[in-house]
Amino acid sequence: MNKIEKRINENLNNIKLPKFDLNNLEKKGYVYMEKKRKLPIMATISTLCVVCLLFIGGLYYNNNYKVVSKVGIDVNPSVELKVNQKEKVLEVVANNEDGKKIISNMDLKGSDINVAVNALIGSMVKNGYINELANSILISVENNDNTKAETLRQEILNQIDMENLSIISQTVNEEKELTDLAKEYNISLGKVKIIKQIMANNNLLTFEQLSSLSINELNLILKDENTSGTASEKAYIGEDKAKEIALKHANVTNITNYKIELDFDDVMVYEIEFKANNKEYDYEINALTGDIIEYEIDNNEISNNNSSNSSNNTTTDKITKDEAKQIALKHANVTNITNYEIELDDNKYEIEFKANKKEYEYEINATTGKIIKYSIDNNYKEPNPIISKEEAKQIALDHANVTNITNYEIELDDNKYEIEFKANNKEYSYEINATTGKIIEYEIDTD
Amino acid sequence: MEVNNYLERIAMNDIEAFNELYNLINNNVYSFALSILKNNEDALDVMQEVFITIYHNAYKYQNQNKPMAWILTITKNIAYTKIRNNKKTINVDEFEFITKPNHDDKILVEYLLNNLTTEERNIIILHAMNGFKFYEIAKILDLKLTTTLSKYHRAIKKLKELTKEEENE
Repeated sequence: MNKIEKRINENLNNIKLPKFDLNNLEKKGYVYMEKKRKLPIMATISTLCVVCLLFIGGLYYNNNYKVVSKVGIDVNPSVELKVNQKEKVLEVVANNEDGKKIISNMDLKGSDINVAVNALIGSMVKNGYINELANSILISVENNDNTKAETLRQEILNQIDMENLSIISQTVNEEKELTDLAKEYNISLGKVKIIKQIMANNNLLTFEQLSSLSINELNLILKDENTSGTASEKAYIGEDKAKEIALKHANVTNITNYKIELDFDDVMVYEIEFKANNKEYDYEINALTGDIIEYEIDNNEISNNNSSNSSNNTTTDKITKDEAKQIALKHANVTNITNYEIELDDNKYEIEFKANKKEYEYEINATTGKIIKYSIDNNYKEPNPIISKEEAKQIALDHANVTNITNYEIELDDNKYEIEFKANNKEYSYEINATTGKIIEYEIDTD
Repeated sequence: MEVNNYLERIAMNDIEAFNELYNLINNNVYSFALSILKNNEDALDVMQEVFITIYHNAYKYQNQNKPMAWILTITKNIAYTKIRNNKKTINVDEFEFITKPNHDDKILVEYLLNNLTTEERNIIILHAMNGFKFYEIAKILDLKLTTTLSKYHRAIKKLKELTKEEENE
């Protein structure tokens, strides 16, 4: 806001306006304060609860105060309902700030679990946490008796009376591994279990990455058949648009073997595959922005077109490393490169380098000098270590609680320090996040 | 978001929340109504109607995190049902101020109300009073974003020329 606007703001706010007298307006018939009107869902439910409590309150005192099941609801707000054997809510706990916001005005104690679940979902819709861009809900039921947990899960699922939702529902147990992770990342047990399930299908993803995703994103990555409804993809550019971007970049129109999938690789991406002009194309497109993150073009060149002769071939038949490098640089149209690596493998040169904040990979036929395939990663980020080697070492030593070490090695790789050392006849290895200094993984081997 | 919380409480018949919300945003609603109508009494009427509408409809408001856009769209709709044969010019002395404005400020407000086009004024007032982004203003006013931006710049230019004149006087 500039100076003039600031003056306008101050002057218009300086205008004295009359008090608003609702009572007076009511007398004049403008406002109907006492008339009944459709109450918001929250008000209805809190009234209901008071009634429930008054009626039921004293009657079943004894067996009604023991928590037998827990029901977790995750959207982004994360809420847990503690339920007694009669499936009445005993306590509502918020696991995060959004969860607190959702339950702040509601008194759900004593209400039936199904009423409470619907009320909470209603409130999340009302507060904009569930909308057409993100319609996924995770419901996790916990009970020492797995059969009872499963029955309750199905009952809750059947009683949710809202359309256009995508509901992942599951039963969970308080296994130590899961509860530890839940505590460490400050997320619910249910979310931990879903993330573990995703990691089981795709071992390239880390828990840390996935823990920061929303339930809708996790739902899209999970692609579980048991999920009811379809997770919304409306926040993204859409498959048609992504395809258009890829085809335009590849400059082709007639394609075959087309495949597209929404997936996660640091960000939500469309992974696209197709064939055209006897080449194979792979694209990874940022699902939010439509930017091409990475693409690979496979020219279908056979690297070893004369395998019977290849062993007899003298090296003079091959192009040199330098020639291969020049072919790649010329194709990439770059000159200043870093992190250059070249390797001869199976009659083809594998070349890697970085330039203009991009990462290039080439495979070049060592006999013909033709580019077999290449990929360009636009998303290459310079590693950004904040922790020094010395600091990383200290973190590891402190954790191991040792001082006299031998065979010490440290290496920075992919923004994490890999540290190895020996002490007290044990072998220690650590992986430490180079930005945060957090221990990612460690292993202690006794000799 | 603050206004959201008020709307939620108003939806549950919380009169106190209603009064607090009124005190918080009455000048925003009034200014926009004034911008459209260029008439103090009409703007006051519209403002009252807007708040009655809020009172009756808060429970219908589905949070899209833009409660002020919702409220000012209501203001626009009600104001446009009120447009009559307005006076050509409006005098700042018609207003009651909390603290007495200086001469320059009076001239600025008068110029804003009398010399800008209604659209220019609407854009400036929505921007200055509510800190909206231009695309949000464009949405409330049913204008294209590009139109909103060019009109905004023209209006600011006019106002800057005026303040220069002031300095030269």
